[in-house]
Amino acid sequence: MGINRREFIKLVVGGVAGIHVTPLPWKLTDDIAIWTQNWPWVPVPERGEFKEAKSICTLCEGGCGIRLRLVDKRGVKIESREDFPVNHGGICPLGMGGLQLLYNKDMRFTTPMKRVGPRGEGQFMDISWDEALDTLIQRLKGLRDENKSHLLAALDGLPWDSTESVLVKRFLTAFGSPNYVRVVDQESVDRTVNLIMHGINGPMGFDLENADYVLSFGAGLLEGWGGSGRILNLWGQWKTKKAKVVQVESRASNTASKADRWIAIRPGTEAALALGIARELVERGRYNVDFTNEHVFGFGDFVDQEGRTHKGFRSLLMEAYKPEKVSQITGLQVGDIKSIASELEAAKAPIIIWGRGKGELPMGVHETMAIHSLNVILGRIGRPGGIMVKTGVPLSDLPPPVLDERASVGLKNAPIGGKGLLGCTSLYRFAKALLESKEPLVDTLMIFRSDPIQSMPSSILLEKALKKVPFIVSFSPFRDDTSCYADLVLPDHAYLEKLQELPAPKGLGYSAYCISAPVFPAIYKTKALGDTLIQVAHRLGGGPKESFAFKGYEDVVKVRVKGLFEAKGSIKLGKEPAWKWGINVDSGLSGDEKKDWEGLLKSNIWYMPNNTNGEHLIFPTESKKVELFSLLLKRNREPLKLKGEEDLFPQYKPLEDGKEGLLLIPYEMANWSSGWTPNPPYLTKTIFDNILLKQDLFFEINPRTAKELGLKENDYVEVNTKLGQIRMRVHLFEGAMPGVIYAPLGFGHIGYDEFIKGKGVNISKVLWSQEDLVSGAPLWWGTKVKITRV
Amino acid sequence: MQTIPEYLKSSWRGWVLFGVGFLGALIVGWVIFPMVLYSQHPQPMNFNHALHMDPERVSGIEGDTERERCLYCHEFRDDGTFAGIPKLSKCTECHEDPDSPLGQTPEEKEFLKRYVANHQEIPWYSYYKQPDCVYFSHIAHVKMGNLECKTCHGDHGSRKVLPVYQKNRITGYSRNIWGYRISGLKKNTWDRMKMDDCAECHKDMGHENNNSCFVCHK
Ligand code: SF4
Repeated sequence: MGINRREFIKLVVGGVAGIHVTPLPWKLTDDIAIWTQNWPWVPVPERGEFKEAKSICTLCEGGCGIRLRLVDKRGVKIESREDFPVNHGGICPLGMGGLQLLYNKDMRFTTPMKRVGPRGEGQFMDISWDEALDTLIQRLKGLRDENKSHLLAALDGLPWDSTESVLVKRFLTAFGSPNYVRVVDQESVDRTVNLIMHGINGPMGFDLENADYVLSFGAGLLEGWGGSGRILNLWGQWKTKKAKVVQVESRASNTASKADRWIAIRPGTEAALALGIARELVERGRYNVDFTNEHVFGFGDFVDQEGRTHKGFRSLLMEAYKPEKVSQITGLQVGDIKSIASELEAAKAPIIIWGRGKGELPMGVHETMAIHSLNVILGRIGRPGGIMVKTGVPLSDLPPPVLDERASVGLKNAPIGGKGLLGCTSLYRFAKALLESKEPLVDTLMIFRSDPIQSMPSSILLEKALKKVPFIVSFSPFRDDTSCYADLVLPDHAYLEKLQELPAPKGLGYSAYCISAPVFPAIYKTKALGDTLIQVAHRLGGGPKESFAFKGYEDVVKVRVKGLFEAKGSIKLGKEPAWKWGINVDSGLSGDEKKDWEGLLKSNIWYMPNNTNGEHLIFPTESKKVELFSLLLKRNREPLKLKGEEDLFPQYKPLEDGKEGLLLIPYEMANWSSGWTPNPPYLTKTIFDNILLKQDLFFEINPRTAKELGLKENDYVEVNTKLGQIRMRVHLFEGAMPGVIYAPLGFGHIGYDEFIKGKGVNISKVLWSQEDLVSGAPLWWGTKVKITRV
Repeated sequence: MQTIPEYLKSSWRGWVLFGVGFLGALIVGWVIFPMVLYSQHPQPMNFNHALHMDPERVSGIEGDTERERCLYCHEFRDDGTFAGIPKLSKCTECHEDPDSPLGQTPEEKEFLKRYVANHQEIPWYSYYKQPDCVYFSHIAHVKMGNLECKTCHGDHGSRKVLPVYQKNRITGYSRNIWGYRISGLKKNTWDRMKMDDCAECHKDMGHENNNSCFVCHK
């Protein structure tokens, strides 16, 4: 009995109908949906045991404690640590996205490399560690053999006083070169001011946790100043305890918008306002008379040892900073100046802080002194909620380096660009000296954790100066912009892959030293910088070898931390917050070096809360007081080319490039790194379309100014400065001061990966700048621009 | 006698064939499909939960309640994360010496010889592994929510023999997630572990907020 076509169809229809009353189609649909989640190209974390590790973040110098979630040895998530005294659970977007920097091959130098394309293109070829070390050592040996060791220079962007930085400096000295160069950022300026006014060569701390009134002269508290982890956490605390934040800044930044009061000041005139307020307080007699009498030098007029009368700070204020004049300079009302003075007067624990944005761009030394002079006359030094000037960390010194004959000869040469007060040369001065000289001044430049091509104002000058350096070696783990100019790369491990250290987290109000053992082994063929230096020194022989008689980098760190164990202080995470004054902390130290080292690595921090014993009121300046009239500057008047006696005082100095046009002021963001640290792709997602759209970068302009110039939202324009031309787009923003345009920093990279490279333009490059006489920093806020529509 | 007309005859045959197709499909869908969908994987060795959970027969596994005894081996780490299937090191807290078994079973001897003596982890199949995109916190449910282990894992803790692990050939996940009834219907809370089951329980317990996407799909 055959089945005809109709019957066959009925059989099939029966089957189809039947299958729908079974779970098969529904279950299959579900399974197939799940199957698609497991396609091999769908990214999933590796399988393995979940673990957790505690560490610190060193992407900026904020010193945040972090928690890592690991699957076996792979980091999968970063969170903040509640138990860490510095940030108490605060963390910034960069810190959270840090893992993307590690596992991204295009972001890293995965092995030693040598340049194959033209400089600045970032084309490299993999080479072995042996070849890389041989190339470097041959070159360095050649210099020493010809008694030209002074033709080596090092640009050091490592944290101040860190063991790696100490080793770089030591290497240079033992090698025989005086050319130790640093980028002058606000940290360097603060250290310079600390030295000038308090006689202390170390960081300045801000005891913000104990303050009840924060008068901020441009400090981008919510943009990354002082380490976002700490400040974000603090911001909440301030709100709870009703502390008041006043932001003095020309643009409605995040900080300005969220502060209790925003003082929209003409850019670059903050020092005039500070001195105007100081004058007001002095005139009213509402400054701290006791403190000023006892601990301050140069406040009133005085007679020196030679019998000459000098005007004091007080007379200077009275003559030059009358409210009407200050109002004229700053564009503020006289009433504003007076009301801030009254608020300061009324506050119990006021603090005055400064910095333009994150603190990566420097302010002038004199203007920093001017703003800080408010703290001085109010007696806010070494007091709870005030400025702490002794937050350096008591690490042990290494034995002095051994100088062989070649080194001694080399060290007799003057440093290129001159030595600053802090014992290093400003990169800006160094670059200018290279440009001006007809002779080749440097043969080999070594670069450590620094990306000045991206971040130094007027970096176009540096770009030109680098052309005069025959051989550049980068030790960066990341393909940063400056490393694109390198001829040879000996990549360091990235953070979390190595023993990380941070003496003195930026701006912290008490002494602290953060440290962490490697969390996981190096992902690529990189080598810890400290170990590379030791290895190179050993192979150079002579003085360098003797100066580096260490087994490895870790041993050097162990030697240095002994100083911490000997000092009072604690490695134990206590219940009381470390910023509380006068608490008796359990040190957690056993006296056994091995145990204490392990304890330190476990808590990741050594710290010393402030106490009330008055120790911090002893100032090692020449006058043994806080100096408003600087005897140090007086002694260095000639080399620093300071002019009149007013240059020895805090003061306001106008800055202008002499051109007509709008003022260009760069700005920074908490969710975008604008320094050496690259940006994880996550952060690219957080940038609004009116800041960066595809490859176009926008500047902000007040709608009124835009109208005058005939500019509309989204227009394409050419922006011309004295140093060059960039193409940007227009974004109208009510929060921009009329007459000023604001452009974001950290874009227009030539290095890194597809998510960052070529996005927007690099503003730093074309910022005009003028040299600060004391610190050698490029002062950048006087850039005028001409805008043409295209 | 009346004869069935030809056209009706053909229709009758058609309906029979329809029924055959229908029935065949039912057999395929309800019987053959589950047999084909899951592959069978016996566990590497047996583990007698019933024995270990009985304080009369096994001492050393402490706890006043059943849940505490479960947690003795399936423990929370110090940081609050859940250890899941115990590692060998947990077993060797008691079974430390490969040469002296604590009981008389041949399974234990085999276990000591194969795993303890060689310091080798037992490659258990996990009945309850959820996809990677699902975040689940044991501590939130057991400690904060005060759930019994049974609520989700049924009588697993009182079994003498570990069931054969059945792996879905398409998804790669355990059969316990969909549940043993291929229909997907359930009688007990522990019969299924699909997203709807989580959501249903959250709702019943008055935690409907926890049904927001990001609570579990972080
Ligand atoms: S503030 Fe700095 S240290 Fe803290 S998480 Fe962010 S990048 Fe890391």
